Amino acid sequence: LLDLLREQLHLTGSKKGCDHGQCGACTVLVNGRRINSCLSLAVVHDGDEITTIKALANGEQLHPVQAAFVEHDGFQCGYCTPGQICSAVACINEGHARSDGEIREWMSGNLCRCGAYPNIVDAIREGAGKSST
Amino acid sequence: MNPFTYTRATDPKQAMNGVAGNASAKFLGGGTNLIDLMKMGVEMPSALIDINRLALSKIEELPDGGVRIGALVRNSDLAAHPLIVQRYPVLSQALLAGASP
Repeated sequence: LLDLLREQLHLTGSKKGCDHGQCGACTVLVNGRRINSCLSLAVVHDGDEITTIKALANGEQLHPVQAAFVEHDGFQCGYCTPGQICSAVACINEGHARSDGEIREWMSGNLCRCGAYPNIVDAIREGAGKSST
Repeated sequence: MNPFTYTRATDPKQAMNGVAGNASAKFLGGGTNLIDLMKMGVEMPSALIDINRLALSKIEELPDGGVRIGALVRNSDLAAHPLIVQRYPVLSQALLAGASP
């Protein structure tokens, strides 16, 4: 699925990190549910709704979680960020962002080698407060 | 990855027929193990039979007090299911500890 998105559809927002489902950089939403797109065959998702980082903003208006990442500096190099944000949107929708500890646990599939975790947690906490979607 | 055929099974009989007589055919469920092993050349199936659309996602309470868990139930769904949380909390916690969300 990740290769289809990036190489065929040129939706290069979703990143290929480890390509083995360990880093979460490729996280997308399938029917609202987060998955590692590098470990899923595109053909399996015939008829499914795939949401990547490219679909979260409404035109020029950032999604509340995107805006919160900017506000809180929730990244350094930015490579993991599309996956972090897709995962965070689902994490909030699941109701798993009620405390910092809960955010850390339920975001544990998304690694950040720059170590921006404190700011990522801050961003998600704020995003959870503002996000209605 | 090696070339392979892909078939989406629409009923259990079709799924069984897909692997019958083909030792290198594999069922494809969530795929997070199988696809990873295929990328590394550990698994090289000649045929994948996608069983994701079969009706195997139920969690059912049985009359004798047990629970039947469908083969396609997602770990996170099982871990959050009231029956599992109340009656088998260790299973729920183990599932949540077993993989990242």
